Amino acid sequence: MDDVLVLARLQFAITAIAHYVFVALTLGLVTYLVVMQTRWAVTGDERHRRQTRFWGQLYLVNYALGIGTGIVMEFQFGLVWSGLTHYTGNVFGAPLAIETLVAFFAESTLLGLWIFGWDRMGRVAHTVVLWLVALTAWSSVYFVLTANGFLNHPVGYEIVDGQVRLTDFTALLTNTNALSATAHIMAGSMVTGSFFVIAVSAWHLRRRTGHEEFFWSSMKLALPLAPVFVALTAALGGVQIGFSVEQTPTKYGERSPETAAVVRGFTERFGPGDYLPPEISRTAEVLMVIPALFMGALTVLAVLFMVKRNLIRRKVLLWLLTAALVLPYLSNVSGWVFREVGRQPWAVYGVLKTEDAITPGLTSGTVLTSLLVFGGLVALLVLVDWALLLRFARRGPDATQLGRAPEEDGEDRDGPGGGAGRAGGAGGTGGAGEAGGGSGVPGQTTAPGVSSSPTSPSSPTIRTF
Amino acid sequence: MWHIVWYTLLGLLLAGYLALDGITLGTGIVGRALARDEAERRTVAAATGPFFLGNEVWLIAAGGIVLGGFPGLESSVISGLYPLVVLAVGALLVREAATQFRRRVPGARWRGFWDGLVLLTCLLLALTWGALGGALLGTLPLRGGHLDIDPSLLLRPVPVLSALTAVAVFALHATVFLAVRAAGPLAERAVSAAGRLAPAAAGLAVLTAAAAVADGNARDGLLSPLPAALLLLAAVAALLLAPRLAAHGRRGLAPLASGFAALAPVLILGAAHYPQALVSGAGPHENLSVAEAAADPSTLGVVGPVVLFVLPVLLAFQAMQWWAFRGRTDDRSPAYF
Repeated sequence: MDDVLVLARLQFAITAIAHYVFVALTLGLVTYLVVMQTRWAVTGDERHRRQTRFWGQLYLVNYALGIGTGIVMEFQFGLVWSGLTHYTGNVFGAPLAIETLVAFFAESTLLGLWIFGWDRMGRVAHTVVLWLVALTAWSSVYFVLTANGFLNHPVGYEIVDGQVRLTDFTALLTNTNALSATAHIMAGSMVTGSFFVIAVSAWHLRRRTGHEEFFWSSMKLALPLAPVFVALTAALGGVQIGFSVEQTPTKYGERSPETAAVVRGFTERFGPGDYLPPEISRTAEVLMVIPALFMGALTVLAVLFMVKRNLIRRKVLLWLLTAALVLPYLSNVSGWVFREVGRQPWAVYGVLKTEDAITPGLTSGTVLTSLLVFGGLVALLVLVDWALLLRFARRGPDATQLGRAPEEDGEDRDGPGGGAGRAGGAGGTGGAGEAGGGSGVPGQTTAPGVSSSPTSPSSPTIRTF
Repeated sequence: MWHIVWYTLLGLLLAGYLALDGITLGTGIVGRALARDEAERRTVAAATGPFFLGNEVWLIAAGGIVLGGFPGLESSVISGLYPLVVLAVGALLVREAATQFRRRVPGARWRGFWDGLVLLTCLLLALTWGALGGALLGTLPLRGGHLDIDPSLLLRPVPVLSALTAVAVFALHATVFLAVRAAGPLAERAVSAAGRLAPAAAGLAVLTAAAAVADGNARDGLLSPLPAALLLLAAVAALLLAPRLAAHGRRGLAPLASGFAALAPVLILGAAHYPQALVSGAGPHENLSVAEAAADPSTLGVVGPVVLFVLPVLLAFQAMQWWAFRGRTDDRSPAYF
């Protein structure tokens, strides 16, 4: 392998891993947010609103880099892998086009509405927006994995004049390789989201930060579900392996009886070469599975201690639950390395080699420059983002900025201790959702400007639709 | 036939990106200078904040259309302009993070640092889009569907002037937007700033056009000069008109006028080259036509209807967002970003 290929693959690996680390938590957390905010929509109970805002704040800080790294991913195909678009763009690009337009476009627009819609939209309408954000996010997983599934197990195409052409869109959309991976990833994201909620809640409970009710309620929601999601992810992983053992036998080396025959076939069609993936893919498989065993055991144990809130007194167990947050990330990253490195030396399995997928004429200097630019920026921004996540997580629900009423939002506010502001918000929101039809309220009313009465419970009830 | 639908769709998304994210870009460039104090800076943030995500996403969607519908453009333009695309993508990444980070920690130093990065990246992006438009207007070193751009091509008069025009137009667009969206003295200051920026932006646009006519390299790229010239005149008129509309309290019409000026380059490029997508300096046989750049009809005809079916819903979501936050903002409006 020459330098250009190594650098290009390294660049892709770094950006893809960085992207997925944020995506996994986004997907898991938004689902918990849907549960929390729907509870608020149904009951009107301020505690659920507060819970949604706190976890929503963390969700958004995480989301920031999810978008950023996603942009790098999208344009990387054209920059470095134009061979892939040149030969297989007719099929590979289609699900990605649908993803950006149908799913992400809607998700991003709706997310803006959700962030700024607190106290301006009806409670139910605002909750519907979050549902749509979650649904579009989940549908993104499906479309992106449809594209990725084509790379692992190409279906619904023919080759005309050296270029791939789409013959069966339905086959592309119902590729078992993609569907099984989608299910596995969705369950895995729920594991990630669960462990995040558990880890932060356990930290507050262990440190006795004075938010016992708040974080016990979150813990009560996520902890019993965690072992279920771990088991589900494992089971769906098994289903996925069932398909991929037949579809990409070389991924499993000598463990698959078909590998030898497939390698012979590749050698006949593409000439002699190394058609087995690097050893690291096998290592990654193990590194994906081991953390899952710990995750399952630890959460089952912790669930047993939930009786009469016994868990809150188990400092070691709580500490372990916080530390365990690293486990889903380890599994997520390893799982992707297993899937993508295991496919090598193919970009599109049995159709296009990775070395032919690269942009022709690239020099290693060019790729090295972009690798350093993207790698350096992503690394720095990830550190800042995680520091911010840590900050908001530790400061607890009083420091939440998302959905804070303007009068609470003083520039000098720093950290917890805004008890008064919260009480005002509580009074105001009780009736906010239901107050009047609000249909004829002109937009100009959104500029309060007139009299600022910070304690007036009616101020957050301004609605524009 | 479907490639025309897809090309229109690409034009729509790119035009939407320039008109909408142009507000974000321009606010990043002039926002800090326009706002006198902390309260006004907050007002600026509140004015553009709700639309930030919904604006930039047009570019991501346009990228998706190129990826799925125009593999020919994907493998020529994006890899051919490697350094420029790396710069733009890096700037987008940093701007995204800086915008989302800047109000997370209270304190002037923290916000000042990220505001500075927002200013820098918005300026870089405006210059990049301008230079890109200027370069694509002329003939390109295109052979066999491959583009290998020498960086010096971007330093020719047309891309350089076009880059400066982009900065001025986005700045004007943002001041017009703030004039109709913000409340109080900030809005008045924005009106007068727009009045001063308009002649500069219009002058630069005319200068760019003059350079394009004088520079043989650029002139050869104008396959249909007349529609391009008419569109340019319309854009210049819109630039001069927008501040007046804002001054007369036409809250809807004023940003539409400056928005038209911001998106006009997409129309000009499309009109000047059609039915070609890119014009080669090596002769007409090396041109890349829209049909050649497009994906196979089997893909476009199957995926196209899906996209067209969903498009009204997407536009409705965008409209909903603009409707929800159509009022004027002040320093008490929510400013998350």
